[in-house]
Amino acid sequence: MNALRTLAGELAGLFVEDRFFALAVGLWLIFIAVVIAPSIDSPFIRGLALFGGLALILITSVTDGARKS
Amino acid sequence: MTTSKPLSKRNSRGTAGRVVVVMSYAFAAALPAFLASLVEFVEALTIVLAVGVTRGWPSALWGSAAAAAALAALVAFFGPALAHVPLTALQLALGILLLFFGLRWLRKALLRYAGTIALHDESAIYERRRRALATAAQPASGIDGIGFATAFQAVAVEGLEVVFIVIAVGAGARAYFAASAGAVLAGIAVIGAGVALRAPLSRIPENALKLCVGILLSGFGTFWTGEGLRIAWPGAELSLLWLVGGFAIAASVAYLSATRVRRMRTST
Repeated sequence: MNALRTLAGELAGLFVEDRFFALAVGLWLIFIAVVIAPSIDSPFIRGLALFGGLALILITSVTDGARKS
Repeated sequence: MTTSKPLSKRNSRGTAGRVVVVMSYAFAAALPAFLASLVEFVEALTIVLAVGVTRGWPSALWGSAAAAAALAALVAFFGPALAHVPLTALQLALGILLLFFGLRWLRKALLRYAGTIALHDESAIYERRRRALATAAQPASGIDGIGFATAFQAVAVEGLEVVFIVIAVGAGARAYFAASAGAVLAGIAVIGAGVALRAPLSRIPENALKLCVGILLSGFGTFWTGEGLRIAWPGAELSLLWLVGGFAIAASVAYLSATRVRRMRTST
């Protein structure tokens, strides 16, 4: 059981280190899938929205990490 | 709504055009797999070396071999199975996982460069591991259990990341061979250097590699997530270039912003 828990922890650790950062990325992807993709026709704007949100989350999270250190 | 088609369906291109696209995909799959595997193999080598020096080489090598066999079985099982999953669904799932993985590496590398968290130091890790392993009692004969388990865990944990990248990049680009070749080349390079030097590879610029891989995988992840969400990227595969460039710019902005915040904190 412990081995399984360790394995699950290692697997989750591959993708999630800072929970708030991972949550923000996940919520942005859901927002793109549910709101942006069905309502905006321009592929350029949809792609830009996906990338722009992720870039903004990264910048905010790194800056916030530096502020808290 | 349209989405760019898998390679096998791109019949509108000429033969030369298809060759260029296939070669680009192969290179794009091999490069992140090679760089990421370098990082992971260097980290595993440090621990295996510490095990070998303190607990004996049989336990270090058998532990590593057992972990490598378990990881090879994972690749052999999941690799062909994923070939049967529809490309769009596969790209969406792997794209999201790659995004989380790539952004995690990118964020960590940036925080290290900004001085927020300590840089990875292979020599210090090696010394720490060596001291810890030397304190436990050793069996009089046979394979040492502690050494075997430590080597197994190190290779399995670091190798799991390699397996994920090879499977994710290989499956998303339908370029398993190229991704696997990138990882195998990195493994040969690291093992060769480890055998030659018999010391941790502390001169490998681990954080720079992590930053590059983070940027590449974030670009790939965004591209495939978009494909999975039926976002028709302008320029199809060529948009990977501006996505990777865009993440490089975002990383630069994040670094500058973090260092500015740290300077302001230290000056007050």
